[in-house]
Amino acid sequence: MHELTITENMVGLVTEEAKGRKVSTINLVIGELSGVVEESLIFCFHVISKGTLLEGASLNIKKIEGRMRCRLCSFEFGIDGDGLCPACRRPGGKLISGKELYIESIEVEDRDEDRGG
Amino acid sequence: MKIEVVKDILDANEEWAKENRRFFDGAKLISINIMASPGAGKTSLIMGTLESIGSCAAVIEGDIASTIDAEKIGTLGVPVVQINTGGACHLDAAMIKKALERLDLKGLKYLFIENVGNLICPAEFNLGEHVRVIVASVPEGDDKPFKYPGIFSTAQAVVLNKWDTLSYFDFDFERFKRGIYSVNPEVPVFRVSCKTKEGLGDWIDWLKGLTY
Ligand SMILES: Nc1nc2c(ncn2[C@@H]2O[C@H](COP(=O)(O)OP(=O)(O)O)[C@@H](O)[C@H]2O)c(=O)[nH]1
Ligand SMILES: [Mg+2]
Ligand SMILES: [Zn+2]
Repeated sequence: MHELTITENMVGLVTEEAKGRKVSTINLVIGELSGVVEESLIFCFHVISKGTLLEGASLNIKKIEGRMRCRLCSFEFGIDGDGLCPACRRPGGKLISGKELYIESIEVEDRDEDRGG
Repeated sequence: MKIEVVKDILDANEEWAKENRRFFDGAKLISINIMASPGAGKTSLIMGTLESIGSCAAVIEGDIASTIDAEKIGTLGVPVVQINTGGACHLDAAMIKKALERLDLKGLKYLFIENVGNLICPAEFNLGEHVRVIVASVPEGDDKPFKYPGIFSTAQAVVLNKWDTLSYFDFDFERFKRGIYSVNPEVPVFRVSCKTKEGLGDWIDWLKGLTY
């Protein structure tokens, strides 16, 4: 259940960024190779955020698929093959996406000073 | 109001990991994070390796509970520290930092870290290690890399253990390699038996070739 650790870290970072404002949305980016189980993260979030400024915020999760790029011919391809580049049939691909696990942005309620009033 | 954050969720762990890495580099110690399912043969591989390379290594043992593995390693006379994670399914960089304070590493060349038996969670927690090694074993089946691509994608070496049991299982080594190469095309894959010691030589040669 490392989702618990991950959720605690996430809540900590969001709390810091929100600077006392109520949070309505958290936009997350999670790669398919990151090993995070979405359902488990959402569950942990409900538990941990209770009674905090994050309670009730919606978790908006952008999923990123695993992609490789051939180092020889630059062709990009998915991770469902045999590791050879489908274009030139040579090995030497490099993983270019799929391991993401970060907070992209958050939405917080406006305070008077935020409206520039 | 929208606030751009763009922060890695495991930033705190990454900071500790960087500190551990500086420590390893300063001590001229090659650190090896060994990850596998429970029972794949992490402890057996570390023991087989130590028997061959001698007393130039220390070991950090990670387990949810118990000191069984640390006691086994201890019989070989190398410095060993046990970390009990108390339920956590992985080691993190802060745990390693604490364990390092309890080890005398002077003059040693290698530090083996046996991670908690699990193929999902440890993948995300950088410990500051120089290399990551995944141990899989024949009885677990040739589809492991397809089921856990995340962890296989991070490996600098894969050790396929229990090669001595091949005749009892329908294990297709080519399929196993294909699964690994689909996310990690150039990683070395060693076939070994920690029981018969077959194949350990190639793995140990690879270890000896590592520089930090
Ligand atoms: N047949 C066979 N058994 C092995 C081999 N390596 C380890 N084992 C056995 O597998 C079990 C689990 O090994 P261990 O090293 O404790 O696995 P760990 O949980 O990954 O540390 C033990 O009973 C070992 O004796 C091997 O190469 N061949
Ligand atoms: Mg063990
Ligand atoms: Zn190509």
